[in-house]
Amino acid sequence: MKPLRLGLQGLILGIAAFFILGPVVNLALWAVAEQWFFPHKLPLVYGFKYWETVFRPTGNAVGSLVTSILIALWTVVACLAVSIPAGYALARRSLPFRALLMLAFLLPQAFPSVAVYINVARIFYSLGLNGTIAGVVLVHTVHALVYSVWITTAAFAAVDRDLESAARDLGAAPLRVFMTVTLPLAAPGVIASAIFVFLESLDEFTGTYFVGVPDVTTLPLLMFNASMQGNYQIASITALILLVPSIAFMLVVERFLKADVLAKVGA
Amino acid sequence: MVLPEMLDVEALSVAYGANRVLHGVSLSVPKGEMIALLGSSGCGKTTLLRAISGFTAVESGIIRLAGRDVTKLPPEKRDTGMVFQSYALWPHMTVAQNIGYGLKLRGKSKSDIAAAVTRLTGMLGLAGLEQRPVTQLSGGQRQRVALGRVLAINPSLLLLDEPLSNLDARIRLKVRHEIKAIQRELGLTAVMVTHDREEAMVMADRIVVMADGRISQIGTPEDVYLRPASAFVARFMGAENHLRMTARRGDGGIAVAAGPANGPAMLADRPGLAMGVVDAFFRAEAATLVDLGHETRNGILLAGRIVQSSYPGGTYRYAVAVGDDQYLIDDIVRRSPGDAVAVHLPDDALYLFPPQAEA
Repeated sequence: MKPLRLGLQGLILGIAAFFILGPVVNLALWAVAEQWFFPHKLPLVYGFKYWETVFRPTGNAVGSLVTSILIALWTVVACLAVSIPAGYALARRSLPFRALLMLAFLLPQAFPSVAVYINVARIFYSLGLNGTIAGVVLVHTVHALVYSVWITTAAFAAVDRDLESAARDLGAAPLRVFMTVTLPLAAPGVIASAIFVFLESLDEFTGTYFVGVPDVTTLPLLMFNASMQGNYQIASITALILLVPSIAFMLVVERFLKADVLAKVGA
Repeated sequence: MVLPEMLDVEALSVAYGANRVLHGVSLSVPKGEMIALLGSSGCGKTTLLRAISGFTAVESGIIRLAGRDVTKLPPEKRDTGMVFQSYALWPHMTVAQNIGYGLKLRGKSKSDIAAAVTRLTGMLGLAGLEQRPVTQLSGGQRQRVALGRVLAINPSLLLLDEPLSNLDARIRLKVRHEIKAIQRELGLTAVMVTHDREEAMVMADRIVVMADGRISQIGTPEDVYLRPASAFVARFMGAENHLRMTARRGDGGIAVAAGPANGPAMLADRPGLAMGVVDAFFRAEAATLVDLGHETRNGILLAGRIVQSSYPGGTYRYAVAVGDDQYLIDDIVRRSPGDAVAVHLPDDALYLFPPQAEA
């Protein structure tokens, strides 16, 4: 009984590891493969030749990276500008149709994204937003707003109302209460939502493809172009670059997001 | 000209939606007095406190603070200082930052704030803890920081919402007297909310007993304890034993007819009390147990049997079955369950009221 159970557990773990780690290992191999073709199971020649290509000043990887980060930062600013007041209002005020409002932020995710973005692109085209950083930031913002609003709402809801009441009782006007008590206490959740938004923007592909191309090239677009051209080394190296901020921030988020805030997400 | 009271509440009504929780409450507190709003949960005492502090909107009525009508003012524009039941200390600030918050709001200089914080921490026994985050304090220390934070702004009115309910029973007894001493020393006007009768008796100059959104009685601790104005107040102040009897006026007093358990008796007159069926209430410690056959001219005797005995300290506590009822009686003499005894209720231990619908 016991060996059977152990064996089963090992098998399940192995399958899980294969599906999670398999693609990453493949990616890592491609990143250092200088020659690898069918039917060989492993690369024939290893090396860092393509890394040089990617990071060469004339290559567009560095430029795309800068564009990606710029767009992600602006998206964070735009999202917070909406989600801090919206999250506070949703957490504190008894708004009519509160649940409906929360769901409304989920709408952009609910429809098939290609259909949505084709139409967004059409509208942006008539507004002159196509191919601009602002246009891409706008698309990313709408897409990421659901995380941002839901997480900040949870963060504000987790702040004990008595803490705000105590400040008002001592003479602080509502805005002062917000700046000195509510916001500092909700800050970990707000920062976590900002990180989520940053990562979402960094990884976003579909919207950027329809609204940004060909004038705006982000890392995911670069990766896509490289893959389409059969340039797996460039695509893999770009993907690895994209992995770095994701992993780094995930570790930060894990520290910042406390259980009491997580419990209130979407509530 | 009559000096205005520090707090003056006039015909205050508060409703949450269609549910009215305060029905025209009126109350005055002179400067330097501490009153306790006492009642069981849901009686409206916390709502009254929140209405005074400005956190609960008022349906009708007036609240005046130091002669100024504050009924429509937001909490920050009223000069009140509230100690919250949860203390509501800001976890992202140190002890000094918590206590200095109100002074910083008022634009005091850094050195003034530091001096005030030092003075307050010294007074409250928190010296040396100024730079501690409040999350690292014990319950008693947190409570004192909450008090210090409020005292720093020297409010016209100190509001205390169940200030001791989060403390250990042993510390609570000590802190009661500490808060009372500080309030008296600084001459603060204070309103405290509590459901603990003894806490109210020890801390307050006057007690406001509340029930169902109304004031049942206002008076000194002696008043409400010895001269309860209603059956509810009598029960709430500890006279839980209840005896129904028939009485009529005669011979300069109240003649109690012999009932299923009690013999006939003469009691001193209670002016204004309607005769007929009367409910009597008495405390466990105000009655004594005597042997059957004992005779007295003071009060009532009930024949009963001990069904349970315990020793909570000081005196024995007996459950005595009298007819269908059971009473709790304290007595210093040790007796055993099963003993037939008489319960002696002295005249002044009996609070008589017209029968209540549910009693």
